[in-house]
Amino acid sequence: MLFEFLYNFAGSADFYSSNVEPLFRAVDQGPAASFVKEAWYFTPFAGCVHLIALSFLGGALLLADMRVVGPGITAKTPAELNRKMTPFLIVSAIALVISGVLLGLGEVMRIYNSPPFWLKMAGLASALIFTFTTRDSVIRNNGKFTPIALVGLVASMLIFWLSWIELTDWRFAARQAYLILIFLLVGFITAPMFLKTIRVERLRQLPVYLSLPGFLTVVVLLIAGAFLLARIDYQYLHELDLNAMGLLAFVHPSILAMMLVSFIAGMVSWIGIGAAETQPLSMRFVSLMSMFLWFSVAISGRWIAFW
Amino acid sequence: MRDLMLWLDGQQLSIALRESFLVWSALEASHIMTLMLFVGTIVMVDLRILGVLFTGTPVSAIEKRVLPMTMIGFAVLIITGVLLFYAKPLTYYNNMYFRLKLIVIGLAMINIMVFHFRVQRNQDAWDNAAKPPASARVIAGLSLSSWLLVVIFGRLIAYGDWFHCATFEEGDLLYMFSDCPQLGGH
Repeated sequence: MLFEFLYNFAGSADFYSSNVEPLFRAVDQGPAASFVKEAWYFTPFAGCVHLIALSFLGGALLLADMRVVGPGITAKTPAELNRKMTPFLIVSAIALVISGVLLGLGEVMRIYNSPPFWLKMAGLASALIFTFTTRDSVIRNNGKFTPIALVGLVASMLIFWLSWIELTDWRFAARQAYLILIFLLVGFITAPMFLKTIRVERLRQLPVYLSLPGFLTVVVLLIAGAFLLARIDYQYLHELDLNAMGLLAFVHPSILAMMLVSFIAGMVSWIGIGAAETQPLSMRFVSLMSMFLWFSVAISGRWIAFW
Repeated sequence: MRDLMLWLDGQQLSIALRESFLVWSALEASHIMTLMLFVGTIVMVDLRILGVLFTGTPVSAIEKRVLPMTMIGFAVLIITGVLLFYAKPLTYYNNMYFRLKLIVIGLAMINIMVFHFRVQRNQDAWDNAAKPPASARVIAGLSLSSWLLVVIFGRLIAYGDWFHCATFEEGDLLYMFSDCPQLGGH
C-alpha cells in the first residue's frame, strides 16, 4: 500500500494527470500567479533569496557533515556541531521553500511539465525526511540506527530512487551523473577499510596548497574518465538500447567500468581530504547521503532551466 | 576589449560550449553546487569572526579546518565561471550585473588581503575571544556582505532584459559602464 502510494507519488503519469494537473492549472490561473507574472521585479528577487538560502543551507550542511566524513571542525563533536547548525538548516530550508514557491508561481505549467522539477521535489522531500529523521538521529546516537532513523531511511530512499527510476533515463546522461556521484561517495566512505592509514597520512602531510588541488585534479580527471567510459560505448549503441535494457543496463561493461572508476575517484578524494579520526561507517553513510540528496536538489533545480 | 570578446565569441570551442546541452548544463549545475561550498563555508567563518557563531572555539581552529574547503570551492567556482564566460563572452561582457559582480569580487579580494596582512597580524591576541576586535568584525561584515552581493549580482545576470544595451540611451552612464556597441543593442 505504502509502496504503491510512493510509486504513484514518485511519477505515475496517470496519477499526475488526474490528480495534480487540475491543481496546477487552478493555481496558474489564480490571483497569486497573476500577481507574480505581472510584477517584473518579483521573480529576480525570489531568485536571489533562493540562492542565498541555498548558500546558507550548503554551509550549515557541509560544516556538520564534513565533520563526520572528513575535514570538518574537530574542536567540536559531530553531535555538537550538528546541533549548532540545525537552526541555520531549518531557517534556510524554510526560506528555500518559500522563495521556491514564489519562483514557481511565475511559471506554474512549465514546471508541471518539467521532469527535473519533479525530481527536485522528490529530492527535496527525501532530503527533508532523511536530514531530520535518519541523519539527526544517527549523528546524535553516535552511529546507532534507531527505529525512527530506519523509517526515515526507508521512506526517503523509496521516494528518491523511485522518482529517479521514473523520471530519468540514460539519455542526457542523468543516470550516469547520479551513478558517478553515488559510487564516488561509496568509495569515500569505505576507503578507510581498504587503505592503510599510515601510508595515507604521509601523503596528507604535503602542504595543503599543493595536496588539495593535486588530489582535486586527480578526482576530476577520474570522473571525466568515468563519464567518457560510459559515453564512448554509449555512442556505438543505439541511444534507446540502454533504456530498453532495463536493470541489465547496470551490468553493461561500460557502466560497470564507470562505477569502478568513480569508486576509485572516491577513494582518491578520501586520501586527499579524509579525516585523521574516522567516525563509524553508519555516521559517514548518513552524512554523505544527506550531502548527496541536498546536492541533487540543487542540481535538478538548475536543470529546470534547461528542460 | 570588445574586439577581443568578438573574437572569443567566434571561436569554435566557445560556440561548441554554448551549443552543447550536456556540458553547458553540467557547468551551470557545478557552478551553483560549488556556491553552496564556497559561500556557505566563508559565511560560517565570517559569522565566527563577527562573534555570532562558535564563540567558544578559537578563530584559528575554524580557519584551519574550514578555509581549505572554501579554497577548493573558490577554485572550482573560478574554473566553471571562466568556462561559462568563455561560452558567451560577448553576452557577459555587455552585461551590467556581470560587471558589478566582478567589481564586488575584486573588492572582496582586497578585503581578504587587508584581513590577512593587517588584521591577522595580531590574531594571537584575540584568537580565543568570543568577540574579536572591531577591525576584524568590520572586515568580516564586509566579507559577508560582499559575497552575498556577488551571489545577488550573479543571479541577476540571468535577468539581463531589465537593463541592457538596447534599453540604455546612447551616452548614458550605464551605456558607457556596459561598453555598449556604437550601433545600439546586441
